[in-house]
Amino acid sequence: MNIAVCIKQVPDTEGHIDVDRRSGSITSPNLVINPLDVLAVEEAVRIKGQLVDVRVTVVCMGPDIAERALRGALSMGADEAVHVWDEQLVGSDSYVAGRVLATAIGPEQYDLILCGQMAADTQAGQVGAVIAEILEIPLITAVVSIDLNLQSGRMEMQRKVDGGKREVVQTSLPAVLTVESGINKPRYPTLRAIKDAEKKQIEKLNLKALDMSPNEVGATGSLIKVVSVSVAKPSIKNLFVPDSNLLAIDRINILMSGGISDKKAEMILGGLQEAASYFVQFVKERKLL
Amino acid sequence: MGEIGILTVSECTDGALDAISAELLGAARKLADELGQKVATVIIGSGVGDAGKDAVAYGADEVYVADDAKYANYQPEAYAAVVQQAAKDLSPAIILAGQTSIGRDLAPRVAFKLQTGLSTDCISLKLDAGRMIMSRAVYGGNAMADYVSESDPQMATVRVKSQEALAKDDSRSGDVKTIAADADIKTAFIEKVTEEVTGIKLEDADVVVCGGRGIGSEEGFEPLNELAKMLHGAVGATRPPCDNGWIASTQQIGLTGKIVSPTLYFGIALSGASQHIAGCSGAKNIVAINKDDEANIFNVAHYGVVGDYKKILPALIAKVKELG
Repeated sequence: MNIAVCIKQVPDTEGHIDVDRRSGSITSPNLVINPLDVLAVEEAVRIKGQLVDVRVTVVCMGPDIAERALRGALSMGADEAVHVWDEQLVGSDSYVAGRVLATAIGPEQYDLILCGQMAADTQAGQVGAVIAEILEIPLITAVVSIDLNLQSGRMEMQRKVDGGKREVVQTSLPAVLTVESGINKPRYPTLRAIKDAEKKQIEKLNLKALDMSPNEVGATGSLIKVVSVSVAKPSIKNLFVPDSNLLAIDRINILMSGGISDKKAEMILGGLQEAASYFVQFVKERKLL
Repeated sequence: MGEIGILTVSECTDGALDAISAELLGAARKLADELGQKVATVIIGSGVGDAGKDAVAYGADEVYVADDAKYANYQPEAYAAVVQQAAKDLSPAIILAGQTSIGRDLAPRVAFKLQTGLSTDCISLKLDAGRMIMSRAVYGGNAMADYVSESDPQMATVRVKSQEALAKDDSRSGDVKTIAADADIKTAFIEKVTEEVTGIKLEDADVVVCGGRGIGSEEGFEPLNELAKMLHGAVGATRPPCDNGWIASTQQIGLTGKIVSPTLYFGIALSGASQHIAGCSGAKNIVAINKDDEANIFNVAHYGVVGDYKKILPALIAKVKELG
């Protein structure tokens, strides 16, 4: 079985992120493999451990630094890596990204194509669908468990749906599966695996190699345009000059906290009974219970 | 009133319109009135015939119903074919679906078939010079982005509870017709199963009691369970308790977990990282308990208690018990 896993390198949204309000560009000191894509890699490697003759190829579209993401996936146990990049790809939307990845993956090369359900940066969740539509193969989204006992070539899996339910669905292969959180717990690669991954060859593909024209990609080929990006909820902080009468430690604390931010909450600092009574009052006022 | 401006994709449960369907119609009505156009909706399911007149009461001018036993459960190819057919017949300027498990699976397929762009999980839709500006969260809720489609029809999926439904008005008039489409079926629905979680589902719960890293252990969740049980709510958690196995990972709330919008939300011993807030910011009332009075959760909470949850929760539970 040949498995392709599409991965994306994204800013670590769990860490610190700076948004330039004018250009809308995002800077983050930390680039990581999209968390849901890590689960897709893990699932592919898990399948490799349970079936015979499985080869796992990771495919990533992204600038030069995205090689780090591919090496990371190799260290988790992927066999091969394909790095797709061209300067023309800057500004591509989900539709273009899906087309580029589908072209890199190609028809009839893989039995399973795994993707994360969505990328943590754009949060769009469309690339898997575009790949499946282009390759004209089935798509199952939000997969949370895969049954590897194939029945006459058909694979059964569970997908997460609203209301705390799961749907059991069946598909023929090849197919595109997008994975959802909870499907597995990704492994931490060993130091040795990380070192080995550094030595592996990575196949590089540019637009020419994909036989795609610059008009089809980047902002020109995209169907959706970003108008603006803004900070979601700018935290309002008062500019604050520490009072020289304060103790040094307090002044340091104030400076370290960047001033005093406004609290929206009704803060209760008193005793337990007081807090509980206030709570009941709060609940009653808002007719919550 | 001219041509069809907006087509919405309605969803039903047991033959009745889901709340998101009315919300989509509410949003569509606003846009269509501005454009001077009509609103149509497509309803797909089995035994959904009666939902048509409700869709009219919520703002649709035309309703297209695909009512067939084969649509009893969500079947992506079959559903996509119906929406594609409706789009072909009506040539709407805008297509809206819900950011639900059906909508988020369906919309990208339909968008590709129509060779048009799609913005998912939008929380605001506005018109600017006749084009729809679609606003949505990006970067784990750290930023908001506005998108505009450069292709037609303009498509968006809309976050649940982000739009307001119109009051149901049974005096409104509209046409209810049937629609049918053949599809190349590639996947088979076998059954629907329930996740192994006791009690009320997180997403359905009106009260959610959520614990964070500070809960410290599996046993630490006991008072949270007690409070949730008393309030007929569900217990959730941020990522660390799930990663540490204190609670099932199915109970994770946040960007990589579930998104909840209960009436009352307790954030207990959790800092309020933006990834978590992304999952609970829809809550109407947020109560926070944390030892650290600088915890970010207090910035979004409506009611905050600074202190040790182990002492505070029993006091709250006792008071709530008095309430009956």
